[in-house]
Amino acid sequence: MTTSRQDYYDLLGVNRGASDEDIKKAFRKLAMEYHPDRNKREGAAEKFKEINEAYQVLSDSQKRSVYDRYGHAGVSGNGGARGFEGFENFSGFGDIFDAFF
Amino acid sequence: MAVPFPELDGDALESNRRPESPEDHGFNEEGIPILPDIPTGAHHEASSGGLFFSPDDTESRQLPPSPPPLPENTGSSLDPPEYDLSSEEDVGPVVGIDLGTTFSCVAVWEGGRPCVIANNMGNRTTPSWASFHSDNVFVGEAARAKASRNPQCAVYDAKRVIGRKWSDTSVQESLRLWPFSLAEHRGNCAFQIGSQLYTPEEVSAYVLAKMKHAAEDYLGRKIKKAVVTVPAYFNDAQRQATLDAATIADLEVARIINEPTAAALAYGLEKTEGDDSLQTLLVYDLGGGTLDVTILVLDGGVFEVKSTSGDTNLGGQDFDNKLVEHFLPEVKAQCGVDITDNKAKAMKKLRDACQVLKHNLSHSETATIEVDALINGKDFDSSLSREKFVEITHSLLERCLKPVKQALQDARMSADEIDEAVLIGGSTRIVRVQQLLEEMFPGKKLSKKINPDEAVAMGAAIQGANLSRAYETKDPRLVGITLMDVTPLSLGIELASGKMSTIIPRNTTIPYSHTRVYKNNEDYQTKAIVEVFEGEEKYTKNNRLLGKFTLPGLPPKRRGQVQIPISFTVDANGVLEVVACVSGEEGTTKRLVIQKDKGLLTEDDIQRKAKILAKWERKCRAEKLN
Repeated sequence: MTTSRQDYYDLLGVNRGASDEDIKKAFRKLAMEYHPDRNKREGAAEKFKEINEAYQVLSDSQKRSVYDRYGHAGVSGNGGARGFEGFENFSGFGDIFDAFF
Repeated sequence: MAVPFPELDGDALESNRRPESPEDHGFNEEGIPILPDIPTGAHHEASSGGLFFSPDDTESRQLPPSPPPLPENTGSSLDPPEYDLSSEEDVGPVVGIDLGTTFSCVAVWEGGRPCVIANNMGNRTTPSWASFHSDNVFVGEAARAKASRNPQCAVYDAKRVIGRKWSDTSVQESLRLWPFSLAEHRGNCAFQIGSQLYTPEEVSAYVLAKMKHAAEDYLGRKIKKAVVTVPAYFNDAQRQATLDAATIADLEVARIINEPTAAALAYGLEKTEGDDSLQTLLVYDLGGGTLDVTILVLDGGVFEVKSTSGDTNLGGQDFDNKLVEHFLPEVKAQCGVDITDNKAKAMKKLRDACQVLKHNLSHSETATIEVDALINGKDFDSSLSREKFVEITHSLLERCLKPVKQALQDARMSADEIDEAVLIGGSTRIVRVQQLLEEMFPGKKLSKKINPDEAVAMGAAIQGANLSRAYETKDPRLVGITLMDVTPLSLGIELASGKMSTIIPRNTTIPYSHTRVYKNNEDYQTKAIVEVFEGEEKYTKNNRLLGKFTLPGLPPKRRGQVQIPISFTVDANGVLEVVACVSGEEGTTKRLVIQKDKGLLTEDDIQRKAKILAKWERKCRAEKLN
């Protein structure tokens, strides 16, 4: 479960105006440090997942712009996403009104 | 600063090294090397680059899961130079095995580079064949040699049926052209030899054992662990079956990695030396039975896979099949017999000749096919031009670029953003395939720098070394290498409408975790059934079920009023863990049990077959067979 609510830009150590290349570079640098194959310390894998989550959002221009406007609520695909019908194609909202099972 | 982990143990390091000669440890009366007692340490679960349910499938979980507490006394951060040796005991070198459709290859990291190990015949690749006889099982060259006289006893192509259902169309389509018999066994495929059935897992296990033997003979010590490669586009069942094959062969799988990623690792290791520039590679891997396309970025030592695509049923064998089909009418005309009619020996001869013809067409415009005494003492002669070959294999060639386009689209890249296309797999020698790629990437050079038959095993050996040694003791060439692969197929759950709701899309970098919240579909629904699928189809009925569980204890509320967060986590091994809970008004948490998807073989099957194979291994060692 995603409990972390740390700012994605902070997680990657880049500023909000960072270019795509900056974001990729920052992610790879952090990956070298925290990837569980390289860092066996407890917590490293969790840390990597957080960094990766931030990367998956910020490296996708569409997701990044949603995150910039609505923060975590915009991209976590949870119940709080109600009212985001405008982002039908965006991960988390495509079937928000069909999320019954 | 505090060092919370044990210091490197000198003995453990020592045992990583190759002994001077096999005599260092001697051999027992069965010819099996007697090895120093090496602690095996905590038993690692077999793991994979694919998607698996957590092995501890029966464990109940308390929700919501909390992140594991950081160990105390570790200083303030997760400093990378620390390495927990307690969980990574040295059990000798981790070899890399490329378990191919038609050929297999084994390599080990030695003297600062990956080295391919030749088998006892002196060959660097071994045919993925096994031949079953009443008194023995032959593997590799020996099995292929046996096939000339007893084609119905020798089997190959296990990789094309492993983890597949009998009803699979690709299985049914290939049946007619195999000289051996395939039968249905509990809905799956099994090779039938006389009255005996052999599963594809078992056949692959014999091949893996043969590769293990080659490594043991070369290194003079017992091999326990291996990195085994699979096509990137293999699904969960195919990966699971490959793991089962390794278990039967008494190999602990340190990691299953994807073949094109392994090849990129071998390629990149050569490339990155003294060159830190960022590079985008497209690995095109057309082997004996599968096509994989992977796009990845090399940045310093980081190998970041951007996307992967493929066709698990397109390879050199399909080209052979087309040639066989092309020549069958000519054979009938020249020899007066339909050899598909239960004439396994003649079919084998024709197929072998077609293969030679195909190889010859890679360096000449026209090639001849000549088979002495094909059937009833009659010879068969014909020839084929490259142009005609392209015409015959047109339907296959058309499929060769589809995964390339898909991979580019998924990576959100255009063809001109690819710096180099790396060709791997023997079938990339087909001239028309190279032309198609040249047209796709105009002005780019197709790299054939690394041996297409050996690159995958070499990459597996690099990753094996990478996973087996402590950070500090790593070879300088390995330091900095970080491999980040992706999920090949989308993962999600079934909605009430029967639609697939994706939680982790394909080509997501792993390890990764994501949660989505779902709602109850009916008023006063008391439980929810969570069915987990992999695949890209809109409706789950067209995707593959990985497993399911029931989440009980929903509070009695109207439709849409109960929120159920479901979280998917894929770790570096590709193990998928699914956690669901009911979030009530007070944030109530519920326990649940994740049921593991059963592999095609039961635990008993695996144990029983492992015993048979271990006995065979002893026999081989004792009688110097195989």
